[in-house]
Amino acid sequence: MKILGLDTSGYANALGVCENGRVLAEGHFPSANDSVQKIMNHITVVLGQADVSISDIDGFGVGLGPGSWTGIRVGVTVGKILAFSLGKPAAGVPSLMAVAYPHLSPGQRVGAVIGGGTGSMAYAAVYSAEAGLPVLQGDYYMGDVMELAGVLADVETVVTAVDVLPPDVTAVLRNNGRTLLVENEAPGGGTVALMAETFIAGGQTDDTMALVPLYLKEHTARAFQARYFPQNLESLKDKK
Amino acid sequence: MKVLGIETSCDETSAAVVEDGQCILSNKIATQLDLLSKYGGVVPEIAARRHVELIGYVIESALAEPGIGLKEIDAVAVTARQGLIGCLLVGVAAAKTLSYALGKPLIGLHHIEGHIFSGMLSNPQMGFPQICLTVSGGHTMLIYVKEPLDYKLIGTTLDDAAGEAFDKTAKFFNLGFPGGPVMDRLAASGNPKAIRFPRPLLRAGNFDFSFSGLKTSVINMFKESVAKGEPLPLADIAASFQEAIVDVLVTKTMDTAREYGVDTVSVTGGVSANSRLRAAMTEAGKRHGLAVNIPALSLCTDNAAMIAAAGYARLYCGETSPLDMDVVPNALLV
Repeated sequence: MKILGLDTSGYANALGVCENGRVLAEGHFPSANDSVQKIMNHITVVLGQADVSISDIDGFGVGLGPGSWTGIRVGVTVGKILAFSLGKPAAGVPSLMAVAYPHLSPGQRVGAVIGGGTGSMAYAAVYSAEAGLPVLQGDYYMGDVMELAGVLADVETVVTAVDVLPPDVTAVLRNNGRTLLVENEAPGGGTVALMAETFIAGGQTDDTMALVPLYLKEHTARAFQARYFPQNLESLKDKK
Repeated sequence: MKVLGIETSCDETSAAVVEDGQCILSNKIATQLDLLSKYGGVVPEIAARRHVELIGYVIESALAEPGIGLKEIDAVAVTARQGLIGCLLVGVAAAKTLSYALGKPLIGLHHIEGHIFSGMLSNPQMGFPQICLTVSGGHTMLIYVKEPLDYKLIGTTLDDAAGEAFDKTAKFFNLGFPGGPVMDRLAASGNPKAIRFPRPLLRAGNFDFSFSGLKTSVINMFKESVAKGEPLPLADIAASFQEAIVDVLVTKTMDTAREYGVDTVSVTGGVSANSRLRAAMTEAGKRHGLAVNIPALSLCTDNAAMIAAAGYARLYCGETSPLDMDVVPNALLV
């Protein structure tokens, strides 16, 4: 089974093609605000490197974020419409899971961290491996990076996509014997493809059209309502 | 030739299939009114998030309704210029993907060009050259259309769009969002001559508009009337306010038509759904001996059929867009 994985939640268009558990080609294309402009070309490049054409692809892995809101929207839209136009299955892959995945081993807990883009905000999650697949432990974390030493207290390994941990936090984690890794090219497109292949092979295919980004953070208007007009928020609830 | 159109420039997620630029096979529009009315207007981030949720379903149903397979689509047209950037991105990402996956041409269009074509979709016999007034919550423009695809911008709003003035005034009176349809309904039972609101820039000798001051004037007059203990009836305010806007729009459009020596006028955009504007423009057209063309209500507000129609015309002239096309939120029409 050949899978194309894509993730545009970070500072790059990350793309990869895998087949039967092996990555055939992978590309990490730094992108500022030109994700939408370049993504078709990036797909062509990675497919070319893997020596496959888009019609050979049997399924799609779609990086869901968290990360750049605008970035994820491009990737999720491209991923779902690719799957729809070619009539192939798609599996959504949370980007934090893709950051942790290459470092998971049985009995170990891995903490994944993605920068929140503004100020000292960060997204984090803790995963452990169960039957070879990452399983989220507890809830996603969205908040100040300074709190991460506490959030990640129980993990063996911490992987950050781009170096976002302040020295104070890394010092605490190191003193507690944690392994700290910085993966500047995570989440990788190859990893997203591999995970999607596992999901699709295991029958865990998502409803393609229903794929939506994992923003984690409320949009500002809702946060504004919550702060100043909490009564309005109640009526918003039933509207989703 | 079947063109799939996609439009996500503001708060409507829309997809349509139009054959030969004229025959609408489907025109699916998902509005976000449920969310927008809660927030009192369009919040760009909310709108963009909703587009991602809906885009797939809307495209799917635009194809399913007329029973068209993806392989039957000959080209994909999309709004790429003018609109909210986060919203435009979703439609453009979808259109590029379809174009890439199906191996069919992509055509990126200016949103206003779509509105100009909504007139032609409703009335293929419409004459050229013509003056097109395109008026909505986001824009108010007078455009000289020499022939399809050949435009000259003559006038635009210096501040609020006409629809924006409706929305903001309605918001002041707590009438909900969007304000246009509410004010229109309310005005039906009011006296349009009850209050003489200003007609901004009516005799300014140019073709530009300004509606911000009119909105303030309404609010101030109402507050004064309340302070005097004789609050103005809401229906009269709505009718008189609507009359002021319609008066300016109609007069300036007729003046422009005379100045440019055209026989045809078309009125497009969300505000062209306003019943008073439709009636007054038609009546003024008769007085001035001009043909007035106003699209069917379903084509007034943002929709993808008009984008598909404009895309067909561009494609017919051999124009296509590259897959690395960017979105331009504040692009000029010409």
